[in-house]
Amino acid sequence: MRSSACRGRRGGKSLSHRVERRSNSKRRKNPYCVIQVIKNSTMETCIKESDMTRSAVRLSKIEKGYGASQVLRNIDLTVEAGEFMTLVGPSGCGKSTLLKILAGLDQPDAGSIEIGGELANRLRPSQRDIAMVFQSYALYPHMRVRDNLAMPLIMANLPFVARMPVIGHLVPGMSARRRQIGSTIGEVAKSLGIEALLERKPSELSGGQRQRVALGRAMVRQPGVFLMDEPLSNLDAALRTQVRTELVELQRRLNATFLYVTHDQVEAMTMSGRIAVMMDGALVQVATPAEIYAAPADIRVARFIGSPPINILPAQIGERGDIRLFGESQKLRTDLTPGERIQIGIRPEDVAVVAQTQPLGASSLKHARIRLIENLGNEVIIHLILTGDGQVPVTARLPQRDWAEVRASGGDPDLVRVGLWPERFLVFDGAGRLARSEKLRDAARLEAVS
Amino acid sequence: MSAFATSGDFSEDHRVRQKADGINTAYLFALPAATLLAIVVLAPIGIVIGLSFSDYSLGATDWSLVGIRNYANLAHDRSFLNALSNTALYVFVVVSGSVLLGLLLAILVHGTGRMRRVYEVIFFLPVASTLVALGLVWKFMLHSRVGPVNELIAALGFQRIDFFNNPSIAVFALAAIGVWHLVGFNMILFLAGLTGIPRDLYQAAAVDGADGFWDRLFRVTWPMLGPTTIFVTITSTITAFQVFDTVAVITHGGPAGSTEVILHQLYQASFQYFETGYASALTVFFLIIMMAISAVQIFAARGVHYS
Repeated sequence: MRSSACRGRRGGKSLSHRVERRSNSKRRKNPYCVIQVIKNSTMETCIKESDMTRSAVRLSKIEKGYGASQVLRNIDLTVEAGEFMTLVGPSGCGKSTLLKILAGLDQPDAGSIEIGGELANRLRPSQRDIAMVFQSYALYPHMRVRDNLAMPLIMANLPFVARMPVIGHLVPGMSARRRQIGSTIGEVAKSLGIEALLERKPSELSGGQRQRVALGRAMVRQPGVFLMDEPLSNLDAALRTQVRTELVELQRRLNATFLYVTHDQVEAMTMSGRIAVMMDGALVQVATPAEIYAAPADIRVARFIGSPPINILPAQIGERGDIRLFGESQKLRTDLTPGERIQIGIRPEDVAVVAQTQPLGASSLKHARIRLIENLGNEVIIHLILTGDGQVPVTARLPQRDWAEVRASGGDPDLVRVGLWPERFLVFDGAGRLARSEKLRDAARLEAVS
Repeated sequence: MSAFATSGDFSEDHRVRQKADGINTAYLFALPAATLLAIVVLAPIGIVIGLSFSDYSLGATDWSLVGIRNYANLAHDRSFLNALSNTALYVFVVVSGSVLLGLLLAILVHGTGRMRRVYEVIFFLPVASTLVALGLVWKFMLHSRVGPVNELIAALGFQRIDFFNNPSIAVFALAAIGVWHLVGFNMILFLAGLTGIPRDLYQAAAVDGADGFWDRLFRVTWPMLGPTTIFVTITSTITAFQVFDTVAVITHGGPAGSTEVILHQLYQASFQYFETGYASALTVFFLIIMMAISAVQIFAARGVHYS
């Protein structure tokens, strides 16, 4: 029954189609087949169709400057077909500019843009097989939701005269197309659960509803690539979490390529297959969320990803190539030149906090004073200052249960000891790049903690 | 808590004093403004309405109330009906011309970068100038024999056009001057409206495929300018209804009454024939038209999008 519905919409063409390269954005496949594919994965015809609805994106050597300031420097980025890629970076790093260049709303000074294997530099935004969701949603405030959703379809399917106000409705032979547009809108609205809102104006909608309408307007065209420019930043925190999961589900359902721009590292970490981190107009690292977190290529990435932020401690390379932190050798070796000043990154959860009364074990146990405790319920974030070693601030994160044990062992409530595992150190060289490090053979575990 | 108690005490005390004086202090404070309004606006209107029911003529010592005779005369006065239809034609041409041209100019000027200020000043100059003086200039410009416009027409090999002496053209010639005078003002208002349209909307329209000039105009720009358009249309209508300067300076209502307009007739009735009663009836009629236009604005505004 599902298969007939799927073919029915495509009419006679569904049998004749083969896996052909899309060369024209006007050729559209039905995404609702894709939705059904998820429910019934045995339908091969639809799966083939779904393969074709997504497009890969390849940006190479993109340069962009406004006046004297260089906004984008030599950007090379490939988004695979069907991938959810997040472009993340602090405000003003150029990520939105990059998205606008990809959408055709801005022109690069140099470099090439390929969408679905086609060079898109000279194509207008509407010809690029993309759809975009804006941070402000950019819904047309004077149109009902229905007309907002219809806009891309009207522009793509009706000739100029038929689009004119008033007289457009006098053009013969358009009623079939208008009906088709109407039914597409109905299907998209249904899949997003906004059917009840179709006759309303955007000003009568809540933020979450507007967000859905903006998403719907992107979906009706069945684009190969969805571009999203911080689409969740105008939602309140609870709704943001909900829409986050919905977006991920939608992306899987549509099997479309998503390029998602955000400055929120939580969104980047939770939603995407891969993250592209941008800093000061350059791509610093493109990797999976796990890789970005565990092995940030640059100290700026390390600082940007992770909440609470990573601890950065100044250190130095010793004469044997070992790392000296607070003047002590850390039983960790690198290939960096002896004497070089380096920085060590330690994630808050890699900072062990033990009670003051605990006997001193490993040499790297330090005395620390508690500055502030943030209790998040399931875990505790403790802001500490290492006493003695230049009053360095350190943030630790530990499960509530462990913290309760530390507290139960008594002693001065403001004083604890802190343990650092050298094998979890992220070593950044003088230029801020991640350096390879390996444990020295005689390295011992931190007995006191383990 | 104590602050609440204090303010409560204060208002209690206040009310007691009010009762003692028998006057609400708030009305006292509004009195100067109300007085001024009554003297400057309401009283003259009241006097004009009163005079419109009399046969008073300027300087006359005896006069009597005549009921609605002045209004009845209005309805049968062919020169008044002529003036009314001329005014309506003039208003239609000037309003449609100045609103559409103002919108077009605003869109074009909005698109220019550094030159924008220069264009704004140039197109606004006619608004800031005195129409009586410039009416004389236009009279010369469009003169049938010595006017540069006709020199140009003749040089191009066409027949000279007698703009102000041809009864079927004169009102349009005046309307052209009216458009010229108003268009800069409308352009500035439209420019202000255009600045209020978010850029995102145009970007969304571009992604949706509405990036041609006409699609942008009909799908984004003009609908978003709905409130501005209504305001501009209403103010233009009111201004156009008040056409007087150019008629008084250039055509004096001629040729053959083809440019006779309401205000010019009102001026003649009151200051040349001194028929104050009749002129007052005309004035009241004029006032009603103005109020009707303003009422249209209030109701029309409900139908358009205000963001």
